[in-house]
Amino acid sequence: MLSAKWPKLAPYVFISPFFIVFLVFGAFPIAFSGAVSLIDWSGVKMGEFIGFRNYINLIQDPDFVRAVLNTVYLLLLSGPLTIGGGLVLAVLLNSQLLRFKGLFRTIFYLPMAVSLVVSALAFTMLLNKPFGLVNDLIIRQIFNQEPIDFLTNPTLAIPTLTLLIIWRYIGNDLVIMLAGLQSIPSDLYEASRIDGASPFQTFIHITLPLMVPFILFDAILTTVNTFNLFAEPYILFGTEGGANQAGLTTGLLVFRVSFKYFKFGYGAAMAYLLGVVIFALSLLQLRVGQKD
Amino acid sequence: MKPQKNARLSRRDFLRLSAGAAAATLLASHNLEGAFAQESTPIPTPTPIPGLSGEIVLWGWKGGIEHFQAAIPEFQKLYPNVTVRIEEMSYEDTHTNVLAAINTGVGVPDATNFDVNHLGEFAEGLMDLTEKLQPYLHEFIPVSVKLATYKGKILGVPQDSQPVGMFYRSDLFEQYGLDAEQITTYADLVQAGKQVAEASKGEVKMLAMDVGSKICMGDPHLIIDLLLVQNGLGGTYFNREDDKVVVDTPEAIEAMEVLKQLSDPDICFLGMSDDAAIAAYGADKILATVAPAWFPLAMTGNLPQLSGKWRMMRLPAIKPGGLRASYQIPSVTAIPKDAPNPDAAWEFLRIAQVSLEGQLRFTEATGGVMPTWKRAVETLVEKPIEYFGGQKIYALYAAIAEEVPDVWFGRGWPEARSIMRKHTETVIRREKSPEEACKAAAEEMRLKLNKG
Repeated sequence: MLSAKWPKLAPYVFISPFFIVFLVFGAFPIAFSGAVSLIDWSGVKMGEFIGFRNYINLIQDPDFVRAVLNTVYLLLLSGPLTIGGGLVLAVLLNSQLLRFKGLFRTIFYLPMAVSLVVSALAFTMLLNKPFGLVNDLIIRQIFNQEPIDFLTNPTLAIPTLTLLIIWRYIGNDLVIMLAGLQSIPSDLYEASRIDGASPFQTFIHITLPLMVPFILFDAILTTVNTFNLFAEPYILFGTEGGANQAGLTTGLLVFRVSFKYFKFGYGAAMAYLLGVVIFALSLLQLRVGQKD
Repeated sequence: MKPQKNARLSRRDFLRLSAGAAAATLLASHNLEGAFAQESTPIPTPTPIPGLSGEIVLWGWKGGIEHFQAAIPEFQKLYPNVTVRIEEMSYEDTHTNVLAAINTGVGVPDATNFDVNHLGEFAEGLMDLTEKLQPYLHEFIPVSVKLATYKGKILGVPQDSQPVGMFYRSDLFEQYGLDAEQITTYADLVQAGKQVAEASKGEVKMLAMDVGSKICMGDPHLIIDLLLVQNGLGGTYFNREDDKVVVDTPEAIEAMEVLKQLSDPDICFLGMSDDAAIAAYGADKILATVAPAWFPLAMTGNLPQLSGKWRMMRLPAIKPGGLRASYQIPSVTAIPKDAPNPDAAWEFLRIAQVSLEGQLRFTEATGGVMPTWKRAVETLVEKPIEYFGGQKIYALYAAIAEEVPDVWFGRGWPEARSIMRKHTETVIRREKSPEEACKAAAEEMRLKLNKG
């Protein structure tokens, strides 16, 4: 009986592991947290259904507004630098003139292989005021300046976080861009060379337009990752986000609200609202990219 | 293992680091000097519960569970059919897991440690231990029981005690012509700080405070908590009934005013990292620090070279003749309502923590953290402490603990503290007046915690 049905069933059985895992660990938590976001669930007590009250409170919550603004600032600062930097490095590494390409690729990608916690802790120590290597050796000994308060000066919180992000993630952007560059047919470059185009003109008129889908993909990935960023600001600034909450990011706030204050309903609403923001930003990027 | 120098050292970090420490050099042998009046009520000899069997599971972080481990042989003499499993997890994981277990009813431990400031959140899922603890209450330091009580029910067995005093450098006080006896109010402390700043041309300051909230003892959120308690707000941010926010009351505003004066850049280093603060203490740049009862061990671990130079005094009062005692957050051990084996869990706690032997084991395992059992505290105060120039600091701590007024933690306390911290920073940065900051904090607490 089963053997007769097997040929028809087999494909479904073979693809079922993915769907089972997705339903249990993907779809169900998404749906469940959606339901939780409509409940006043704080601490042990699972409260009553409160409709969209959590969402309304969120908009009035100064911490949420602060975290969103900080994260957007971080995205605007770190996004162009990691994506642009990754593209420039990829072009250089893709050049015929450069030797030891494999070595450079490894060097740039190496920070990705370092544990997130280790790298954030290393930055905390490097930037410590006044005894960190950056302050003690570079700022004080070499430039003879007063130590800089990288970690507790509110103005420097996001730039400091940006430094860490660039160091850690530029290798990832580089790999994406390198894959894009290698997909561009070489005859286009040959034709432009024959037409007498300079390297800069070639980059602007051939490389850049053909790299748009990759830049777009990278931009969406960067947006999603920035809004979900947690470990780096957590280690650099703690759950409070440092002085004046200047280092408070959305990922950090969702964690703080859900797992420090145990406000699960509110935390779920926050995560959902951020999901909408990320979706809207990604859509916007896609639209802009498609127009171009 | 000695307490180690550790970035962002907090009480729980300290407990973790000092776990298994050799009995500390701090431990002393002298009488309590009347800090506690012993009650004559005898402790009943409990009758073992017949037929107890199975397994009990206990949760906690390093530094708060070693005395559990040490109590197992004694427990198993009485209950050979009960096995004990102690699950060590991080401080954060313990609190998160407790809540998840209580919420879902899955994997609920039989007993768990947590910091009492979470009592309001966990209360509904915890067993009422009032009746069980009743025969032993006179043995505990009263404030530790008050803190473990929520809405009239004792929900946890007190573990450590954290009265707060102030440490000062006697050599530097002498150098700058200061007399600790004369510093009885915070205004006196500020005045003394200005004297030091002037004499040292701003190189040396009375205190250190960290705007970034990373120095354990200079953290403004801790200092404002202490000041609020000192000024009569025993629930720090909430009233006794736990339904109203009180941080915009005149008492709270007055406490914030004191914090503003203390955070004057002339008398206080601001924005220091903890490493920098430790270095500054070592370089004779800071004269004093607020100090809970766990802090002496952190000092000996981090600054052994300053042995003999520190002394302890009471916190200054907010007003002349005012309260010179305050308290920091301790830990408790509780039994969840859904614990699979609650009778065995209570019997284990009775041996491990509700007894003189149990609390002595706790003190020994942590290298001298102050216990909550009065007679166990006595063993800490018997000898002068060399690091503090022979001063009997635990006698002073014990006396302070006796004077701490009624204190409690309400629902949403950790979030309220975070809100208060944020608004306190605006006072330190001189962006808002104490009144504006307190009112803004109260408004935000009311909005987020749904209290009046």
